[in-house]
Amino acid sequence: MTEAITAVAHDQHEHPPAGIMRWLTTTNHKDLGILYMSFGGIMFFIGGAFIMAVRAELLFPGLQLLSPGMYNQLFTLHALIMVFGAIMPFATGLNNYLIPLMIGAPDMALPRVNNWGFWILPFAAVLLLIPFFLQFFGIGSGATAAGWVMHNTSLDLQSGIGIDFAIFTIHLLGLSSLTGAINVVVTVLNMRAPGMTLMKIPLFVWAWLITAFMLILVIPVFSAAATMLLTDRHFGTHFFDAANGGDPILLQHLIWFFGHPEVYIVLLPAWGLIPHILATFSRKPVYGYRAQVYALWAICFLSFIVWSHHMLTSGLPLAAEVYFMYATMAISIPTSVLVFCWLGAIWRGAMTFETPMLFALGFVAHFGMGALTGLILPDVAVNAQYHNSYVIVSHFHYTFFGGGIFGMMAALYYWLPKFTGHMFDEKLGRLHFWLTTIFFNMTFIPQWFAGLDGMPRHIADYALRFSTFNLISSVGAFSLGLSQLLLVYIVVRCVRGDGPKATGQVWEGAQGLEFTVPSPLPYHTFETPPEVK
Amino acid sequence: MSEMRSDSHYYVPPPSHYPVTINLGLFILTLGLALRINAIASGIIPILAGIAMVLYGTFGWVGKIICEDESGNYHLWEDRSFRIGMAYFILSELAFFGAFLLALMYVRVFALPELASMDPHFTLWPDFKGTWLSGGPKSQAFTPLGAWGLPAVNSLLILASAVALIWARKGLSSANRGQMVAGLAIALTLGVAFLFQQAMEYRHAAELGITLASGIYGTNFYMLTGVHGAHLLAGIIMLAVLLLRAFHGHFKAESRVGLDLVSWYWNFAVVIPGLLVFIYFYWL
Repeated sequence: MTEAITAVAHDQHEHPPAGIMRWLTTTNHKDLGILYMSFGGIMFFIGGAFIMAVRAELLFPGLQLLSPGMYNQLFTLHALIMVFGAIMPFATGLNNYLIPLMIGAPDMALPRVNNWGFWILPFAAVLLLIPFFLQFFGIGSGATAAGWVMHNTSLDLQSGIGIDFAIFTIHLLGLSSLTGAINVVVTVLNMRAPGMTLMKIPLFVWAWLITAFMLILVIPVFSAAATMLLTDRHFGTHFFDAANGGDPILLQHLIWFFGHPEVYIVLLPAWGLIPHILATFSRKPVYGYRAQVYALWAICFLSFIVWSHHMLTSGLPLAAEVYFMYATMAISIPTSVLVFCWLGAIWRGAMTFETPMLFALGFVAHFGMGALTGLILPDVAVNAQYHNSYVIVSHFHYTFFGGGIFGMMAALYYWLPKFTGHMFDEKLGRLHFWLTTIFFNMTFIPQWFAGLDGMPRHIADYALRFSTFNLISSVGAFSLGLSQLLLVYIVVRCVRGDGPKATGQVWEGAQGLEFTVPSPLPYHTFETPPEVK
Repeated sequence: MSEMRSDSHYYVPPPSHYPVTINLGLFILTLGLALRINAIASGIIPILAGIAMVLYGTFGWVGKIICEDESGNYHLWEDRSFRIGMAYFILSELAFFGAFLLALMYVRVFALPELASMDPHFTLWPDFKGTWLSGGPKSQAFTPLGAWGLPAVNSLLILASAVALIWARKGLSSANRGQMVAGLAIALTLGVAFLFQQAMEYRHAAELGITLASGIYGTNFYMLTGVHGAHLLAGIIMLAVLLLRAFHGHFKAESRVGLDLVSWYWNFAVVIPGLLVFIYFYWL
């Protein structure tokens, strides 16, 4: 599809500043991609450390380690950090690094805005965590403890300085996501190489373009909701105060109008890159390109009109509940199109099972489980039983970890030789995959059963009959956390160059413009646009 | 698309310290605010320092863009990036504004009627009527604002400013620089007049007993007009910069991205939201 005739890689003609200033002031999409991905990786381990403490508390019934307040802080921080600090920045890093390469552009369209969007993230992370550490010096009541969508925040419940810090964090993160999203849209619409029409861009680029549309439309709503919460808490407005004519349910509507598209914002980048990997290791072209593009658009559209399925027990009118039930179930149609396209991609292919392929297949299987349960949950009658139970926890971990994180890991292994110029240790990579898969399922399968049996989420203690499930789940979680250290080892070794040199093509069946340039990539690529047939 | 390119080389700017400066400023600003509203550290200095850093970074960055523009680094290809970027930024501003307008709709259509439709034996507020122009059951007494006095005049002012801007852009197209400068000056004056009138409106509202404590009515009034006013203030600063640039002989018929972007911002992120506030808050 995309054969570059003039994939010219110049030597860098202007040298970037040395040391820390290079990274602080850089406008280079590869530098920023590396920064984004490293930040996402670091936050993945911080967010993981928080949940290890939570699982330690849940190892046995009764309260052993944490107070309920501290428990609430830890799972809230885990959620916020994993969604906004780990998966989204890592996916943004991939788009930064790969989109200009995939469409034959010299850089992102707005390079300084790109820098702006990245360097706000570390500040936002520090701001989120400051109140957590202040509490140990006797200042304030700790970090936000209201869950990642801040429902229980209303005015008196869960008050404390943590929420205010979280609100400002949301403003900063919103700015980062928004600038990043605008940059993607401008880059894809304006920076494509001659001959690279919109229906020729790789699916990863399509997925990110659609993600960016969603971000541009919903991130401001999240910021507005956070602003209303802030003014309600401190400046005397009454948006969410029933006695003064407001409505606490309004906060849920606003947050979930953001929150449901956010689910797809987390997942779409992974959906976009999986077809690349499946096609490469099946030695076939991408299957169902058009169908996948239309399915992604359909999911984007539907994601805006289904948010209340998160609120089916909040007392909506019956007509609204029925509408949101059917609208939500309708999403399974385009999602099935995607899943069958992925299966079509490997159908009768000459498959080999390198680490990226293993993670991509793991993605299809785990995401499939998450998606199928997602088809059941919006059923109004069923939802009444499962709402806020561990079924939900397991469901969204199958989509976010089994989908999002497995997808990101597949991408990391797939493009790591491209980034570093060296192959990683294939044996260790496969070991990492199997450990992750086994312990991931060991962690979350028991949670289905605990949830079906009635175990509520967000609770630091539980009834005795859930003991076995929680014991298995906690042991699985610790092992899952430990086995991720193997990933660090593999990546560090690969970055240090302890491996055979990678060719420009890297993988035998790899297609796309990014594989026409050498590995590792020169500092500037495609300064003169390549011709695409 | 290839015909859009006057040059096959895209201008990738050199490293810049402005973005990270703005981010540090935003961090200090939000940290200072979060500590101050919780009375942990009530010093005003971090807030002012943060604002100063953000302003320094913003003006430095915009100044750099203007320099690059004037020294001929931008061609049609770069020009198009700025335009697409601004279009989507405006889309996000409309989404931000839309959230506040939808909150108003939600309160009028769902929240207030539902508060009054509960069984009178069980509700805390059996006398509550639940119609709009109400501040909710516990709100203090106030007189609602009328639509056809100052708010209508103000809406006309910003509509006229939009027309003036279109006229100014026409002036540049027909190489009539005087018309461009005059149009910009008129639009700027009308914007400042709007802001002044809005301050009068706030004083008037306070006389009618409308405060933030006037329940959901006061909340919507101050937040909708406040968010709009903040965007208008930013727009006024942009127009002032445009006017200064026009005095310095900037902008040509074929190199006018700054003028066009600010007029888009003004028309779509300032004028249209202002009119929507008039229609849905004051009038209907």
